Amino acid sequence: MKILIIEDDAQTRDYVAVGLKEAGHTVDAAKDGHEGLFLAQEGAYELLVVDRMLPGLDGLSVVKKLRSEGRSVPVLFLTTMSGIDDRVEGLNAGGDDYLVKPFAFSELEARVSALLRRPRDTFGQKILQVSGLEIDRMKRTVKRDGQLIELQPTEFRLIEYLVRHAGQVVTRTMLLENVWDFHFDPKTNIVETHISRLRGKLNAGDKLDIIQTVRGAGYMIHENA
Amino acid sequence: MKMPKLVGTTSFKLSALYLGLFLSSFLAIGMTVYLLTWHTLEQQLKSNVESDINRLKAEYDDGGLPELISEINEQLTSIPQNAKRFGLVDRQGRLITGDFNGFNKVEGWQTLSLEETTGKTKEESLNFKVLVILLPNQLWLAVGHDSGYIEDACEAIAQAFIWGFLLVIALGAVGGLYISRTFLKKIDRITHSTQAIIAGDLNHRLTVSKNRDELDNLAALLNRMLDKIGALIANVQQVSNDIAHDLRTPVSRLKFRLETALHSNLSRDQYNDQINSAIAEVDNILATFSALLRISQIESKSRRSGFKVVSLSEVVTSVTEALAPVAEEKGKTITSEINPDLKIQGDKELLTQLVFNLLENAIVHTPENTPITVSLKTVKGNIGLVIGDRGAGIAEKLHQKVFKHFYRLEQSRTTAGNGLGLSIVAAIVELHEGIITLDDNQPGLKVVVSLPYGK
Repeated sequence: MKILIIEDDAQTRDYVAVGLKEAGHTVDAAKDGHEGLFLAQEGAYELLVVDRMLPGLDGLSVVKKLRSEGRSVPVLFLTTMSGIDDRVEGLNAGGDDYLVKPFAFSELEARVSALLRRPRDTFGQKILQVSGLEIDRMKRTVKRDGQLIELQPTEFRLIEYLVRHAGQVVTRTMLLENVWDFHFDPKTNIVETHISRLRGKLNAGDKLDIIQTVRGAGYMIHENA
Repeated sequence: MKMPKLVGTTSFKLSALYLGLFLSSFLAIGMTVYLLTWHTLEQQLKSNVESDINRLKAEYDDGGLPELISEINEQLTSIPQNAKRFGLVDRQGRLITGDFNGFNKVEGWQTLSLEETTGKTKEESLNFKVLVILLPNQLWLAVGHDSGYIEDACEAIAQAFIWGFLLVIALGAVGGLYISRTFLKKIDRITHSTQAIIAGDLNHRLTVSKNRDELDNLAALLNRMLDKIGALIANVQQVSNDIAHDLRTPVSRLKFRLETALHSNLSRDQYNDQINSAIAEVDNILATFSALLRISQIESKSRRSGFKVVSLSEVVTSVTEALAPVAEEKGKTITSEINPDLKIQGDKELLTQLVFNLLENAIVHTPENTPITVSLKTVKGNIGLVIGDRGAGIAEKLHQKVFKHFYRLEQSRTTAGNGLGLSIVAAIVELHEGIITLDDNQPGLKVVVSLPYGK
């Protein structure tokens, strides 16, 4: 995918650019807001990674301008501003996701993948099917290989999110934010515990573990087991 | 107090304006009284003259000339001299009787200045209002009354008003200056105090007198504002101190670890381990930074801005459900009693973090296989959240200390954490204008949070 990163700090810029290139994307970089806006308007990028604090024109303004021009390219904000209202501000300006520095590259990669998938989103689909799992979003039921599995509401939301992002790594932070709407770091391993319970139910009867743990990153469900 | 400064003050200008208005009215009244008095007295005098002359005419009509002459003579002898003047004159102007004849032979009113007749000496002339009529046979009759008293009276009135005018100006000026000076002094005091504060003396406060007028209210409000600013500054200072003081340790630890690794001869894998440990340490430090900043943000967040209606029942329920499996892994059961539909005005993210921190604490700082209770209900008009455990509890003398930044209880020093969890909780409770207290759960710890519904 063609990705543009707008970031004035050279180290961060390289860190992200190199990492994304290694993941197979084409990456362009801009050093300040004006250059970034110009490139974003000219080139057809599939994702923008934008730092909020930029010389010249700040990140929020760049994205607001692009949105006012009718561009719907997904935007991931990078920022040191972890203020309570900063995240909401970023999303209101037109951003799609918000990552606080410093971040592990795996976190960035997982979120980039999630954003890139958006156009082919499963938003409208009522039934999701992946690797033997069937998720009925209307009835809120899960079947594995035809067998109904009893799940608590949180567990259902958890497996639904993983399936919606099948084939991609989903980080713990993404799960905390999207399944539980928690925007802080817990002391305890709440995500692991819930995943482990979910596994227990899904894998009952000596079945293959459908949820894969990706070390140092998060979890993933393969699209075709 | 400099005069130009004084004169320039609003209060002086206001006083001058009032004075001006008052003086104008004073003048208007004065003139009215003057004119009215003159007019009234003159009218009175004229009607007296008229009645006199009519009486004389009646005598003439009755008894002819002799009767008239006799009447005039009688008048002349009986009335005080110079009060009235009579003159009966023939066609040639020769005086028939009376005491003056120097009047115009025209019917109507005349004002004449006649000499006083006091025996031989000629005194000052007096003003007389004279009415002249023509009798049959070409006889001119003139009667005049002394009008001097009218002038005297009006002059007295004029004088009185002029003196009064001057007195009012004097009093007004003095009064105005005095009022302005008093006011200016108060303003000066406030100005000086404020300058002292701006120069850096943040503990200075404005004096508030007992008058409770607008200036005092203003001074009191400014003082409260200064208190708030002082608190905010102290807050920032504390964060800086905390960062310097308590982050030194983990950063130093990190440095030692890295230096040791550098000087040791380690295998590739061992280096990797050391680097991973270092990264974990750095993550801890970052988490502490974030927590400190968050506390600071919460404490300086403008009260209730961005508050929305939050269902506390939902928040507590979702947090309890999220943490239940974690608790169960350690054999701890969470029993919850949550009244539905308990809503308050607040920040959902912060309230979630509040409940989460408290419940996580209960899970982490208690022995295995002990129960935890969560309850949410209305207590005395507020919402009460109570989280109880059967752990070691916290000694009463430490109840205040545990909320301080970085404070860690002895028994918890080895567990993960930076000692800021309760500080964040305290900051969130205060932002929502609530109260948090620690109690003995007999045994164990009971955390009680009371939150008002908000408007």
